[in-house]
Amino acid sequence: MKLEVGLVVAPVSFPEVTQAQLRIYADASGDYNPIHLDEEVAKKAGLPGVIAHGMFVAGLVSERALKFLKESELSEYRMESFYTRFKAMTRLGDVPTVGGTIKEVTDRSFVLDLQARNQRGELVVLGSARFAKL
Amino acid sequence: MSHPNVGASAGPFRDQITSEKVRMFCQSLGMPERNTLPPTYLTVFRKGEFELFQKLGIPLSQILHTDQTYEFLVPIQIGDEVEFKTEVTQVLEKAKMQFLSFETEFKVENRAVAKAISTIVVRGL
Repeated sequence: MKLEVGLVVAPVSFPEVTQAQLRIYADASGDYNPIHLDEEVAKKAGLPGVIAHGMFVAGLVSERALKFLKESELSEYRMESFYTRFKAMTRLGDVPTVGGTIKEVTDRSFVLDLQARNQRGELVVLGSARFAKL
Repeated sequence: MSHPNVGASAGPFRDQITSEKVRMFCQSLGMPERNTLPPTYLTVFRKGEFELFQKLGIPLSQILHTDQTYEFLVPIQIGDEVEFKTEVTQVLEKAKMQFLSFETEFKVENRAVAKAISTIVVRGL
């Protein structure tokens, strides 16, 4: 597979975000902020309802990046850095889809820019992963 | 002049990465199980940030994560005991919101292995 600037990394959809999944994520990550777990607290805090942990969606974005590495048989690369910016909230019932584009290629590294969108096509998370040869 | 909270720090803390914790983390993201650390696993080590929110009187329900950067210097392995320390590096106030940046340095056996930079916004001050 030839790495080229502009190469499109096909969007992949993840399962619908549920309260049960966020509870499991809270246990695994140690982030028990009640805005991710309690509808009443979330609404009192001025939010539309329970929202997903930002890092939950970032985790899906990183997973898409690793899947690209695997499906492209680029096993000689490892992730050097990972950046995410949270653009909009992900609510219960939302379905995140993550795709991307190769942004930069050098002899020893490349950068994959990623976007997570919800089922309405709204941008929720921007990501950028830099990979370098081992 | 920088904000008085810049420089506030928490830690160092120590935590061992076990295959059970990594398995739970992968499962929580619906990822296949693997024997390497998922990139965002470092979020498990936000203890310093949570301690600082408490120390600075910031209620968790008022914060939203805006940015996260991880730099991986040396691969961290399952079984490693990670030492980490978190510091407030920037505080910006605009339009009744406060933006806080934290830097966390990770070490294994005294060697720097990764760095995390988180920015959060405190809404409705």
